[in-house]
Amino acid sequence: MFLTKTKYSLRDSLRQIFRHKLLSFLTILTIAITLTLLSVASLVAINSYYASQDIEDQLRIVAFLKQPSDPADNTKLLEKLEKTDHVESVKYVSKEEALKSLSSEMKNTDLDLEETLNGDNPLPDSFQITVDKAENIEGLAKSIANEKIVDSVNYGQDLVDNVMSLNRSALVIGGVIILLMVLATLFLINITIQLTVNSRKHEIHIMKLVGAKNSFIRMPFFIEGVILGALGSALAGLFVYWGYENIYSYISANLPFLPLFNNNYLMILLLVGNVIVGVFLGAVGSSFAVRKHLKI
Amino acid sequence: MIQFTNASHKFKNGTVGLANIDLEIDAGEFLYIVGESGAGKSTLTKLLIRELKATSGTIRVDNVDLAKISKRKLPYYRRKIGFVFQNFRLLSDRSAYENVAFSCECIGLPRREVVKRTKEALNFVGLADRKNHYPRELSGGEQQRVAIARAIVNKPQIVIADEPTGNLDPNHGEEILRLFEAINANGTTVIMATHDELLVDKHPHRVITLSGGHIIRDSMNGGYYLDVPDEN
Repeated sequence: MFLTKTKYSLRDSLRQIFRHKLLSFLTILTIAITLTLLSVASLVAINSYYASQDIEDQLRIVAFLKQPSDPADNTKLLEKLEKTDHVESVKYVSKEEALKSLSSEMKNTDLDLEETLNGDNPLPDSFQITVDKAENIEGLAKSIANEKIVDSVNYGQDLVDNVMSLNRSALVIGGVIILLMVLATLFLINITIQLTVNSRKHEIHIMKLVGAKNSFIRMPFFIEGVILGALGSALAGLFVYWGYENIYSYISANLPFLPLFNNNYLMILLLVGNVIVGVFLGAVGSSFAVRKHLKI
Repeated sequence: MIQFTNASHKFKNGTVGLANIDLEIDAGEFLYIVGESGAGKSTLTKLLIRELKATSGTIRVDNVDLAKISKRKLPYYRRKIGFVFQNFRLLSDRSAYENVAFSCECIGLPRREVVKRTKEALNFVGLADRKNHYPRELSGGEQQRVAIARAIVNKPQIVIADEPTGNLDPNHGEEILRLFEAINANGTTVIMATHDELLVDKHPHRVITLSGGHIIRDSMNGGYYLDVPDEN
Protein backbone atom coordinates (compact mmCIF):
# COMPACT_ATOMS: atom_id res chain seq x y z
CA MET A 1 0.00 0.00 0.00
CA PHE A 2 2.90 2.36 0.81
CA LEU A 3 4.32 1.79 -2.66
CA THR A 4 0.91 2.40 -4.27
CA LYS A 5 0.54 5.67 -2.39
CA THR A 6 4.08 6.82 -3.15
CA LYS A 7 3.66 6.01 -6.84
CA TYR A 8 0.36 7.86 -6.87
CA SER A 9 1.90 10.90 -5.12
CA LEU A 10 4.85 11.02 -7.51
CA ARG A 11 2.61 10.63 -10.56
CA ASP A 12 0.22 13.26 -9.24
CA SER A 13 3.04 15.74 -8.50
CA LEU A 14 4.46 15.41 -12.01
CA ARG A 15 0.99 15.65 -13.52
CA GLN A 16 0.30 18.85 -11.56
CA ILE A 17 3.63 20.39 -12.55
CA PHE A 18 2.98 19.73 -16.25
CA ARG A 19 -0.72 20.63 -16.16
CA HIS A 20 -0.04 23.98 -14.50
CA LYS A 21 3.04 24.80 -16.53
CA LEU A 22 2.84 28.57 -16.10
CA LEU A 23 2.41 28.42 -12.33
CA SER A 24 5.19 25.84 -12.03
CA PHE A 25 7.47 28.00 -14.18
CA LEU A 26 6.68 31.08 -12.07
CA THR A 27 7.45 29.17 -8.87
CA ILE A 28 10.78 27.95 -10.26
CA LEU A 29 11.59 31.48 -11.43
CA THR A 30 10.70 33.02 -8.04
CA ILE A 31 12.87 30.50 -6.22
CA ALA A 32 15.70 31.04 -8.74
CA ILE A 33 15.59 34.86 -8.48
CA THR A 34 15.33 35.02 -4.69
CA LEU A 35 18.06 32.43 -4.16
CA THR A 36 20.29 34.21 -6.68
CA LEU A 37 19.89 37.44 -4.70
CA LEU A 38 20.57 35.52 -1.49
CA SER A 39 23.72 33.99 -2.98
CA VAL A 40 24.92 37.39 -4.24
CA ALA A 41 24.41 38.86 -0.75
CA SER A 42 26.36 35.92 0.72
CA LEU A 43 29.21 36.39 -1.76
CA VAL A 44 29.41 40.13 -1.03
CA ALA A 45 29.60 39.38 2.70
CA ILE A 46 32.20 36.64 2.18
CA ASN A 47 34.33 38.93 0.01
CA SER A 48 34.18 41.87 2.44
CA TYR A 49 35.23 39.55 5.22
CA TYR A 50 37.94 38.02 3.03
CA ALA A 51 39.27 41.48 2.08
CA SER A 52 39.53 42.52 5.71
CA GLN A 53 41.21 39.21 6.58
CA ASP A 54 43.68 39.75 3.76
CA ILE A 55 44.69 43.12 5.14
CA GLU A 56 44.76 41.70 8.65
CA ASP A 57 47.25 39.03 7.53
CA GLN A 58 49.64 41.77 6.47
CA LEU A 59 49.57 43.58 9.79
CA ARG A 60 52.69 43.37 11.96
CA ILE A 61 54.50 45.09 14.83
CA VAL A 62 58.02 46.38 14.30
CA ALA A 63 59.96 46.73 17.58
CA PHE A 64 63.10 48.90 17.19
CA LEU A 65 65.88 48.03 19.65
CA LYS A 66 68.04 50.47 21.61
CA GLN A 67 71.49 50.80 20.04
CA PRO A 68 73.93 49.31 20.39
CA SER A 69 72.05 46.10 21.16
CA ASP A 70 73.44 43.11 23.01
CA PRO A 71 73.05 39.81 21.05
CA ALA A 72 72.41 37.87 24.27
CA ASP A 73 69.58 40.22 25.30
CA ASN A 74 68.18 40.05 21.78
CA THR A 75 68.06 36.24 21.86
CA LYS A 76 66.33 36.32 25.25
CA LEU A 77 63.65 38.70 23.97
CA LEU A 78 63.22 36.65 20.79
CA GLU A 79 62.59 33.50 22.83
CA LYS A 80 60.22 35.37 25.15
CA LEU A 81 58.23 36.81 22.23
CA GLU A 82 57.94 33.42 20.54
CA LYS A 83 56.23 32.08 23.67
CA THR A 84 53.87 35.08 24.02
CA ASP A 85 50.13 34.58 23.32
CA HIS A 86 48.76 35.90 19.98
CA VAL A 87 52.26 36.03 18.45
CA GLU A 88 52.38 34.02 15.25
CA SER A 89 56.01 34.61 14.23
CA VAL A 90 59.00 36.72 15.21
CA LYS A 91 61.84 37.67 12.90
CA TYR A 92 65.04 39.38 13.97
CA VAL A 93 66.24 41.99 11.45
CA SER A 94 69.77 43.27 12.04
CA LYS A 95 70.65 46.88 11.18
CA GLU A 96 72.74 45.61 8.24
CA GLU A 97 69.78 43.63 6.84
CA ALA A 98 67.54 46.66 7.35
CA LEU A 99 69.93 48.86 5.37
CA LYS A 100 70.25 46.31 2.59
CA SER A 101 66.49 46.03 2.36
CA LEU A 102 66.06 49.80 2.32
CA SER A 103 68.77 50.20 -0.32
CA SER A 104 67.14 47.66 -2.58
CA GLU A 105 63.77 49.39 -2.18
CA MET A 106 65.41 52.70 -3.20
CA LYS A 107 67.54 51.40 -6.05
CA ASN A 108 65.14 52.75 -8.65
CA THR A 109 65.49 56.28 -7.29
CA ASP A 110 68.29 58.74 -8.08
CA LEU A 111 69.58 58.50 -4.53
CA ASP A 112 72.48 56.11 -3.78
CA LEU A 113 71.82 55.43 -0.12
CA GLU A 114 75.14 53.76 0.82
CA GLU A 115 77.14 56.52 -0.85
CA THR A 116 75.08 59.21 0.87
CA LEU A 117 75.55 57.59 4.28
CA ASN A 118 79.21 57.22 3.64
CA GLY A 119 79.65 53.99 5.55
CA ASP A 120 77.36 54.98 8.45
CA ASN A 121 74.23 52.97 9.29
CA PRO A 122 71.65 54.91 11.36
CA LEU A 123 69.10 52.13 11.25
CA PRO A 124 68.50 50.13 14.46
CA ASP A 125 68.23 46.36 14.89
CA SER A 126 64.56 45.30 15.09
CA PHE A 127 62.03 42.50 15.52
CA GLN A 128 59.20 42.01 13.04
CA ILE A 129 56.29 40.35 14.86
CA THR A 130 53.16 39.00 13.15
CA VAL A 131 50.02 38.72 15.28
CA ASP A 132 47.04 36.34 14.99
CA LYS A 133 44.28 39.00 14.96
CA ALA A 134 44.13 42.73 14.42
CA GLU A 135 42.31 43.25 17.72
CA ASN A 136 45.33 41.86 19.67
CA ILE A 137 47.92 44.17 18.10
CA GLU A 138 47.51 47.20 20.31
CA GLY A 139 47.83 45.36 23.64
CA LEU A 140 50.79 43.36 22.44
CA ALA A 141 52.55 46.44 21.03
CA LYS A 142 52.21 48.24 24.37
CA SER A 143 53.65 45.33 26.33
CA ILE A 144 56.59 44.99 23.88
CA ALA A 145 57.26 48.75 24.16
CA ASN A 146 57.78 48.27 27.90
CA GLU A 147 60.65 45.85 27.31
CA LYS A 148 63.96 47.25 28.57
CA ILE A 149 65.90 46.81 25.30
CA VAL A 150 63.09 48.12 23.08
CA ASP A 151 63.36 51.72 21.99
CA SER A 152 60.03 52.13 20.20
CA VAL A 153 57.31 50.14 18.42
CA ASN A 154 55.43 50.81 15.21
CA TYR A 155 52.24 48.98 14.26
CA GLY A 156 50.10 51.26 12.09
CA GLN A 157 47.44 52.18 14.62
CA ASP A 158 45.09 53.78 12.04
CA LEU A 159 45.25 50.80 9.69
CA VAL A 160 44.52 48.39 12.56
CA ASP A 161 41.48 50.44 13.62
CA ASN A 162 40.19 50.57 10.04
CA VAL A 163 40.63 46.85 9.51
CA MET A 164 38.84 46.03 12.74
CA SER A 165 35.98 48.32 11.85
CA LEU A 166 35.77 46.85 8.32
CA ASN A 167 35.75 43.36 9.83
CA ARG A 168 32.89 44.20 12.17
CA SER A 169 30.91 45.99 9.43
CA ALA A 170 31.33 43.10 7.00
CA LEU A 171 29.97 40.69 9.58
CA VAL A 172 27.09 42.86 10.80
CA ILE A 173 25.93 44.28 7.43
CA GLY A 174 26.42 40.93 5.69
CA GLY A 175 24.52 39.13 8.43
CA VAL A 176 21.63 41.61 8.35
CA ILE A 177 21.40 41.53 4.53
CA ILE A 178 21.44 37.73 4.47
CA LEU A 179 18.80 37.53 7.19
CA LEU A 180 16.55 39.97 5.31
CA MET A 181 17.08 38.06 2.08
CA VAL A 182 16.20 34.76 3.79
CA LEU A 183 12.97 36.31 5.10
CA ALA A 184 12.13 37.78 1.68
CA THR A 185 12.89 34.43 0.06
CA LEU A 186 10.63 32.59 2.50
CA PHE A 187 7.86 35.14 1.97
CA LEU A 188 8.01 35.09 -1.83
CA ILE A 189 8.27 31.33 -2.11
CA ASN A 190 5.43 30.86 0.35
CA ILE A 191 3.18 33.20 -1.65
CA THR A 192 3.96 31.43 -4.92
CA ILE A 193 3.37 27.97 -3.46
CA GLN A 194 0.16 29.17 -1.82
CA LEU A 195 -1.07 30.20 -5.27
CA THR A 196 -0.45 26.65 -6.47
CA VAL A 197 -2.12 25.12 -3.44
CA ASN A 198 -5.10 27.50 -3.54
CA SER A 199 -5.76 26.56 -7.13
CA ARG A 200 -6.31 23.01 -5.86
CA LYS A 201 -8.32 23.67 -2.70
CA HIS A 202 -11.43 21.91 -4.13
CA GLU A 203 -9.32 18.87 -4.77
CA ILE A 204 -8.02 18.91 -1.20
CA HIS A 205 -11.59 19.31 0.10
CA ILE A 206 -12.77 16.30 -1.92
CA MET A 207 -9.77 14.28 -0.76
CA LYS A 208 -10.69 15.06 2.84
CA LEU A 209 -14.32 14.05 2.30
CA VAL A 210 -13.54 10.73 0.65
CA GLY A 211 -11.35 9.82 3.61
CA ALA A 212 -7.80 10.52 2.46
CA LYS A 213 -5.34 10.82 5.32
CA ASN A 214 -3.58 14.16 5.79
CA SER A 215 -0.22 12.57 5.08
CA PHE A 216 -1.57 11.29 1.75
CA ILE A 217 -2.94 14.74 0.83
CA ARG A 218 0.33 16.43 1.77
CA MET A 219 2.60 14.04 -0.08
CA PRO A 220 2.03 15.19 -3.70
CA PHE A 221 2.34 18.85 -2.63
CA PHE A 222 5.48 18.01 -0.68
CA ILE A 223 7.03 16.24 -3.68
CA GLU A 224 5.95 19.08 -5.98
CA GLY A 225 7.57 21.59 -3.60
CA VAL A 226 10.77 19.54 -3.50
CA ILE A 227 10.93 19.26 -7.31
CA LEU A 228 10.19 22.96 -7.93
CA GLY A 229 12.57 23.98 -5.12
CA ALA A 230 15.36 21.80 -6.52
CA LEU A 231 14.91 23.09 -10.07
CA GLY A 232 14.72 26.75 -9.00
CA SER A 233 17.70 26.53 -6.68
CA ALA A 234 19.83 24.57 -9.15
CA LEU A 235 19.11 27.28 -11.70
CA ALA A 236 20.12 29.96 -9.17
CA GLY A 237 23.24 28.01 -8.20
CA LEU A 238 24.40 27.56 -11.80
CA PHE A 239 23.71 31.20 -12.59
CA VAL A 240 25.67 32.42 -9.55
CA TYR A 241 28.51 29.97 -10.25
CA TRP A 242 28.78 31.06 -13.87
CA GLY A 243 28.37 34.77 -13.02
CA TYR A 244 30.95 34.75 -10.24
CA GLU A 245 33.52 32.85 -12.31
CA ASN A 246 33.17 35.50 -15.02
CA ILE A 247 33.37 38.41 -12.60
CA TYR A 248 36.42 36.81 -10.97
CA SER A 249 38.18 36.39 -14.32
CA TYR A 250 37.43 39.98 -15.28
CA ILE A 251 38.60 41.45 -11.96
CA SER A 252 41.73 39.29 -11.84
CA ALA A 253 42.68 40.53 -15.30
CA ASN A 254 41.71 44.19 -14.98
CA LEU A 255 41.74 45.08 -11.27
CA PRO A 256 44.36 42.73 -9.77
CA PHE A 257 44.73 44.82 -6.60
CA LEU A 258 41.15 43.92 -5.56
CA PRO A 259 41.35 40.80 -3.44
CA LEU A 260 38.44 38.62 -4.64
CA PHE A 261 37.75 35.35 -2.97
CA ASN A 262 37.96 32.34 -5.23
CA ASN A 263 37.77 28.89 -3.83
CA ASN A 264 36.28 26.03 -5.82
CA TYR A 265 35.32 24.19 -2.68
CA LEU A 266 33.34 27.19 -1.44
CA MET A 267 31.65 27.67 -4.81
CA ILE A 268 30.55 24.03 -4.89
CA LEU A 269 29.38 24.40 -1.30
CA LEU A 270 27.37 27.46 -2.37
CA LEU A 271 25.85 25.51 -5.26
CA VAL A 272 24.94 22.51 -3.09
CA GLY A 273 23.81 24.84 -0.28
CA ASN A 274 21.52 26.59 -2.75
CA VAL A 275 19.89 23.32 -3.74
CA ILE A 276 19.50 22.24 -0.12
CA VAL A 277 17.93 25.60 0.80
CA GLY A 278 15.67 25.48 -2.29
CA VAL A 279 14.49 21.93 -1.60
CA PHE A 280 13.94 22.77 2.05
CA LEU A 281 12.00 25.96 1.26
CA GLY A 282 9.92 24.19 -1.40
CA ALA A 283 9.06 21.30 0.89
CA VAL A 284 8.36 23.39 3.98
CA GLY A 285 6.55 26.11 1.97
CA SER A 286 4.18 23.63 0.34
CA SER A 287 3.56 21.76 3.59
CA PHE A 288 2.64 25.02 5.33
CA ALA A 289 0.46 26.16 2.43
CA VAL A 290 -1.50 22.88 2.47
CA ARG A 291 -1.90 22.87 6.22
CA LYS A 292 -4.67 25.47 6.38
CA HIS A 293 -6.79 23.43 3.95
CA LEU A 294 -6.46 20.29 6.04
CA LYS A 295 -8.35 21.62 9.02
CA ILE A 296 -11.81 20.30 8.08
CA MET B 1 -27.53 3.55 12.81
CA ILE B 2 -27.48 7.38 13.07
CA GLN B 3 -28.64 9.08 16.27
CA PHE B 4 -28.84 12.79 16.98
CA THR B 5 -29.47 13.36 20.69
CA ASN B 6 -30.33 16.94 21.62
CA ALA B 7 -27.69 17.97 19.08
CA SER B 8 -27.09 21.65 18.32
CA HIS B 9 -24.62 23.60 16.27
CA LYS B 10 -23.97 27.27 16.82
CA PHE B 11 -21.60 29.09 14.44
CA LYS B 12 -18.85 31.34 15.74
CA ASN B 13 -20.85 34.45 14.74
CA GLY B 14 -23.71 33.28 16.98
CA THR B 15 -26.01 32.00 14.22
CA VAL B 16 -27.82 28.84 15.22
CA GLY B 17 -27.39 26.16 12.54
CA LEU B 18 -29.24 23.40 14.33
CA ALA B 19 -31.00 23.50 17.70
CA ASN B 20 -31.74 20.55 19.99
CA ILE B 21 -32.21 17.95 17.29
CA ASP B 22 -33.39 14.45 18.24
CA LEU B 23 -33.37 12.15 15.24
CA GLU B 24 -32.85 8.47 14.53
CA ILE B 25 -32.10 7.11 11.07
CA ASP B 26 -32.03 3.35 10.54
CA ALA B 27 -29.62 1.50 8.30
CA GLY B 28 -31.00 1.23 4.77
CA GLU B 29 -33.42 4.17 5.11
CA PHE B 30 -34.07 6.78 2.42
CA LEU B 31 -34.52 10.17 4.02
CA TYR B 32 -35.27 13.58 2.58
CA ILE B 33 -34.35 16.68 4.54
CA VAL B 34 -36.41 19.66 3.40
CA GLY B 35 -36.73 23.23 4.55
CA GLU B 36 -36.28 26.84 3.50
CA SER B 37 -32.82 28.20 2.78
CA GLY B 38 -30.99 28.62 6.06
CA ALA B 39 -33.22 26.07 7.82
CA GLY B 40 -30.20 23.91 8.72
CA LYS B 41 -30.17 21.26 5.98
CA SER B 42 -26.53 21.79 5.00
CA THR B 43 -25.49 22.11 8.63
CA LEU B 44 -27.03 18.69 9.31
CA THR B 45 -25.18 17.06 6.41
CA LYS B 46 -21.92 18.75 7.39
CA LEU B 47 -22.32 17.49 10.95
CA LEU B 48 -22.72 13.96 9.61
CA ILE B 49 -19.51 14.10 7.61
CA ARG B 50 -17.80 15.78 10.57
CA GLU B 51 -16.99 18.90 8.60
CA LEU B 52 -18.66 20.59 11.57
CA LYS B 53 -18.90 19.41 15.17
CA ALA B 54 -22.00 19.57 17.37
CA THR B 55 -21.55 22.40 19.88
CA SER B 56 -23.85 20.54 22.29
CA GLY B 57 -25.57 17.17 22.42
CA THR B 58 -24.27 14.08 20.66
CA ILE B 59 -24.33 12.57 17.21
CA ARG B 60 -23.59 8.86 16.94
CA VAL B 61 -23.05 6.79 13.83
CA ASP B 62 -22.78 3.04 14.36
CA ASN B 63 -22.57 3.83 18.08
CA VAL B 64 -19.50 6.02 17.59
CA ASP B 65 -19.71 9.53 19.03
CA LEU B 66 -18.60 11.79 16.17
CA ALA B 67 -17.22 14.42 18.56
CA LYS B 68 -14.81 11.85 19.95
CA ILE B 69 -13.34 10.63 16.68
CA SER B 70 -9.65 11.50 16.70
CA LYS B 71 -8.00 13.31 13.78
CA ARG B 72 -6.19 10.09 12.94
CA LYS B 73 -9.40 8.06 12.75
CA LEU B 74 -11.52 10.66 10.96
CA PRO B 75 -10.45 9.57 7.43
CA TYR B 76 -11.56 5.99 8.23
CA TYR B 77 -14.96 7.25 9.42
CA ARG B 78 -15.40 9.31 6.25
CA ARG B 79 -14.77 6.24 4.10
CA LYS B 80 -18.17 4.96 5.34
CA ILE B 81 -19.83 7.96 3.70
CA GLY B 82 -20.25 9.04 0.09
CA PHE B 83 -20.97 12.73 -0.44
CA VAL B 84 -22.66 14.42 -3.41
CA PHE B 85 -22.62 18.21 -3.82
CA GLN B 86 -25.16 20.46 -5.55
CA ASN B 87 -22.52 21.85 -7.91
CA PHE B 88 -20.92 18.45 -8.61
CA ARG B 89 -17.41 19.58 -7.56
CA LEU B 90 -15.69 17.50 -10.22
CA LEU B 91 -12.02 18.16 -10.90
CA SER B 92 -12.05 19.98 -14.21
CA ASP B 93 -8.60 18.80 -15.28
CA ARG B 94 -9.49 15.10 -14.98
CA SER B 95 -11.71 12.86 -17.08
CA ALA B 96 -14.86 11.20 -15.74
CA TYR B 97 -12.86 8.01 -15.15
CA GLU B 98 -10.06 9.89 -13.35
CA ASN B 99 -12.56 11.76 -11.16
CA VAL B 100 -14.10 8.50 -9.97
CA ALA B 101 -10.77 6.66 -9.66
CA PHE B 102 -9.49 9.59 -7.60
CA SER B 103 -11.69 8.49 -4.66
CA CYS B 104 -10.11 5.03 -4.66
CA GLU B 105 -6.58 6.34 -5.12
CA CYS B 106 -7.07 8.68 -2.16
CA ILE B 107 -7.58 5.75 0.18
CA GLY B 108 -4.64 3.85 -1.26
CA LEU B 109 -6.40 1.00 -3.08
CA PRO B 110 -4.19 -1.06 -5.39
CA ARG B 111 -4.30 -0.20 -9.08
CA ARG B 112 -6.24 -3.32 -10.14
CA GLU B 113 -8.93 -2.66 -7.54
CA VAL B 114 -9.13 1.01 -8.59
CA VAL B 115 -9.76 0.00 -12.20
CA LYS B 116 -12.35 -2.64 -11.27
CA ARG B 117 -14.32 -0.43 -8.89
CA THR B 118 -14.22 2.61 -11.16
CA LYS B 119 -15.59 0.62 -14.09
CA GLU B 120 -18.37 -0.82 -11.90
CA ALA B 121 -19.34 2.61 -10.58
CA LEU B 122 -19.39 4.20 -14.05
CA ASN B 123 -21.47 1.28 -15.33
CA PHE B 124 -23.87 1.71 -12.44
CA VAL B 125 -24.51 5.38 -13.30
CA GLY B 126 -24.67 4.55 -17.03
CA LEU B 127 -21.60 6.50 -18.11
CA ALA B 128 -19.19 3.74 -19.13
CA ASP B 129 -19.10 5.12 -22.66
CA ARG B 130 -18.33 8.66 -21.46
CA LYS B 131 -15.46 7.75 -19.16
CA ASN B 132 -12.81 9.64 -21.09
CA HIS B 133 -14.81 12.85 -21.30
CA TYR B 134 -13.84 15.85 -19.22
CA PRO B 135 -16.48 17.62 -17.07
CA ARG B 136 -16.77 20.49 -19.58
CA GLU B 137 -17.75 17.92 -22.23
CA LEU B 138 -20.59 16.48 -20.10
CA SER B 139 -24.11 17.80 -19.43
CA GLY B 140 -25.13 18.83 -15.91
CA GLY B 141 -26.96 15.55 -15.39
CA GLU B 142 -23.97 13.55 -16.59
CA GLN B 143 -21.63 15.51 -14.35
CA GLN B 144 -23.85 14.75 -11.37
CA ARG B 145 -23.85 11.06 -12.32
CA VAL B 146 -20.04 11.11 -12.33
CA ALA B 147 -20.17 12.73 -8.89
CA ILE B 148 -22.52 9.96 -7.70
CA ALA B 149 -20.18 7.31 -9.12
CA ARG B 150 -17.36 8.99 -7.19
CA ALA B 151 -19.48 8.91 -4.01
CA ILE B 152 -20.34 5.20 -4.25
CA VAL B 153 -17.09 3.81 -5.67
CA ASN B 154 -15.73 3.03 -2.20
CA LYS B 155 -18.98 1.18 -1.28
CA PRO B 156 -20.05 3.49 1.56
CA GLN B 157 -22.73 2.59 4.12
CA ILE B 158 -24.28 6.04 3.87
CA VAL B 159 -24.67 8.39 0.90
CA ILE B 160 -25.36 12.02 1.72
CA ALA B 161 -26.43 14.41 -1.00
CA ASP B 162 -26.76 18.16 -0.53
CA GLU B 163 -29.28 19.50 -3.09
CA PRO B 164 -28.10 17.06 -5.78
CA THR B 165 -30.82 18.11 -8.23
CA GLY B 166 -30.59 21.83 -7.46
CA ASN B 167 -28.67 22.67 -10.65
CA LEU B 168 -30.57 20.28 -12.94
CA ASP B 169 -33.74 20.43 -15.04
CA PRO B 170 -36.68 18.21 -13.91
CA ASN B 171 -35.86 15.34 -16.30
CA HIS B 172 -32.26 15.09 -15.16
CA GLY B 173 -33.43 15.53 -11.56
CA GLU B 174 -35.70 12.51 -11.98
CA GLU B 175 -32.78 10.44 -13.37
CA ILE B 176 -30.60 11.37 -10.44
CA LEU B 177 -33.30 10.50 -7.93
CA ARG B 178 -33.77 7.07 -9.52
CA LEU B 179 -30.06 6.49 -9.15
CA PHE B 180 -30.26 7.32 -5.45
CA GLU B 181 -33.19 4.92 -5.11
CA ALA B 182 -31.15 2.20 -6.83
CA ILE B 183 -28.27 2.87 -4.43
CA ASN B 184 -30.73 2.64 -1.54
CA ALA B 185 -32.16 -0.60 -2.92
CA ASN B 186 -28.70 -2.13 -2.49
CA GLY B 187 -28.96 -1.47 1.26
CA THR B 188 -27.15 1.87 1.45
CA THR B 189 -28.66 4.55 3.66
CA VAL B 190 -29.44 7.66 1.59
CA ILE B 191 -29.85 11.10 3.13
CA MET B 192 -30.79 13.82 0.68
CA ALA B 193 -31.21 17.50 1.47
CA THR B 194 -33.46 19.03 -1.18
CA HIS B 195 -35.73 21.87 -2.26
CA ASP B 196 -37.25 19.82 -5.04
CA GLU B 197 -40.94 19.63 -4.12
CA LEU B 198 -41.97 17.69 -7.25
CA LEU B 199 -39.44 14.93 -6.72
CA VAL B 200 -40.21 14.56 -3.01
CA ASP B 201 -43.93 14.25 -3.77
CA LYS B 202 -43.41 11.88 -6.69
CA HIS B 203 -40.98 9.55 -4.90
CA PRO B 204 -42.30 9.22 -1.37
CA HIS B 205 -39.82 8.42 1.40
CA ARG B 206 -39.38 9.62 4.95
CA VAL B 207 -39.22 13.44 5.09
CA ILE B 208 -37.71 15.60 7.84
CA THR B 209 -38.71 19.26 7.67
CA LEU B 210 -36.32 21.75 9.25
CA SER B 211 -37.11 25.36 10.16
CA GLY B 212 -34.80 27.73 12.00
CA GLY B 213 -32.58 24.80 12.95
CA HIS B 214 -35.44 22.78 14.50
CA ILE B 215 -37.18 19.67 13.20
CA ILE B 216 -40.79 20.74 12.78
CA ARG B 217 -42.02 17.64 10.99
CA ASP B 218 -40.94 14.04 10.61
CA SER B 219 -43.18 12.19 8.16
CA MET B 220 -42.74 8.52 7.32
CA ASN B 221 -45.25 8.85 4.48
CA GLY B 222 -43.45 11.48 2.48
CA GLY B 223 -44.83 14.70 1.03
CA TYR B 224 -43.12 18.05 0.76
CA TYR B 225 -44.42 20.39 3.49
CA LEU B 226 -42.51 23.27 4.97
CA ASP B 227 -44.83 24.44 7.71
CA VAL B 228 -47.21 21.62 8.59
CA PRO B 229 -46.88 20.00 12.02
CA ASP B 230 -45.88 16.38 12.22
CA GLU B 231 -48.91 14.24 11.35
CA ASN B 232 -47.53 10.97 12.78
